[in-house]
Amino acid sequence: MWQWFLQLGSPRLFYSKTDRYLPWLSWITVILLGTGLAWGLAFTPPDYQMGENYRIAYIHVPMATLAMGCYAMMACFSAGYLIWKIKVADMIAKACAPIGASITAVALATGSLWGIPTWGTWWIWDARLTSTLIMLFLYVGIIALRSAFDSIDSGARACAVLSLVGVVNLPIIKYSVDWWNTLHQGASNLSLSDTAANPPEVWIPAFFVGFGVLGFFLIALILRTRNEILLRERRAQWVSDLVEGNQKESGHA
Amino acid sequence: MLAHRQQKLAIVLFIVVGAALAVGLLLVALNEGINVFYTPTEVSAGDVSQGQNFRVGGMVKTGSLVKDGLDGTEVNFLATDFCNDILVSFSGPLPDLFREGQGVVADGALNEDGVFRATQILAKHDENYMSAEVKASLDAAETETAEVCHQ
Repeated sequence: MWQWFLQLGSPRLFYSKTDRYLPWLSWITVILLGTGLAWGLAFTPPDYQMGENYRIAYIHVPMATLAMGCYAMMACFSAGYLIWKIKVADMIAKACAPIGASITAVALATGSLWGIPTWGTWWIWDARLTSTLIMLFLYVGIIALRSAFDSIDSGARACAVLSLVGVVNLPIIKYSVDWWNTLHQGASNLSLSDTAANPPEVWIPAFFVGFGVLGFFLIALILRTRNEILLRERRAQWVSDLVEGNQKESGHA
Repeated sequence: MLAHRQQKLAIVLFIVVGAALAVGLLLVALNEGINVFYTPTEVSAGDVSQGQNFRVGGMVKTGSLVKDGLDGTEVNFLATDFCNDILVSFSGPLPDLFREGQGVVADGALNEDGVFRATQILAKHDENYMSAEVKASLDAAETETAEVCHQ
């Protein structure tokens, strides 16, 4: 396990290992997303109050959860870079930011779409919505901060520090609905019983979508990190060999 | 080399703990201001003055909803937190989820008579999702639970 972890710390081995994982990951993702979305959007019974509107939750909840998970992941890799100077850790952290920003934007947009018919407004400055918007600004700020540096190392260090500062926002988002009065509802208590609120028929499809979206996130993350590896290691011998190999292959075909 | 790593680790912990402490103190200081609405109990305790614009949140008390006007767009109802009630009066479009026994957040101000004149009504949804069948079987099995009042 430790050996495997250390290998992923080498840009070259990260590149070749992920080559093998990507097709598997893609198939699992397609199956999970297809099942979850079809089940959640078409086959679960409508909600007793909101009717069909509540199906937006099958996109909104996994996206909002993943947006926070992505931030936590980015912060962990940032800490890994600051402490151990692992270059791949910084490349992964860099890849997290734009994906996380997009996911947060989708979570906010789907929440607004749900809010118009349900609440009667698409936006309110309550603690949950505001702290999530701050997370979007943190992601965008981190992307902008990196591009403001000429030196890769200085940019990486600055972004790692800002990512770590922003971690404080995660428990605020999570517990905002408990700590303060908000218009946003609290977390649902998922029930195993078929005759209670939030029965399995409601939340099982959401878990399929959730893991499917996680798979999609990992694929996007790996592809972005691989691009970054090729860019930064473009003068390395193994990258030249790789490019040469690819050219030969396409020449034969 | 190891001491160097430990120093870096200490810096990382310092950043995270320092930021958490600073933001934590800020949030404690802002605590009341972050709430998006006042409860009827807070309003009757005099936390807000007459004429001041604010939001009040609670449940639409069952049996209190009265619709007036030609097309029923004028509504009067009691918003309750099960301890205190406040009379809310509103005229305008209502969200689909607005009904008795549902959460509600009203934006407006208290008038001279202590009535809350709302300029906007928002519906607050709870965290429970279920089909109509499940809801019906839940209602059938429902036992009266006493609401606990925290004054």
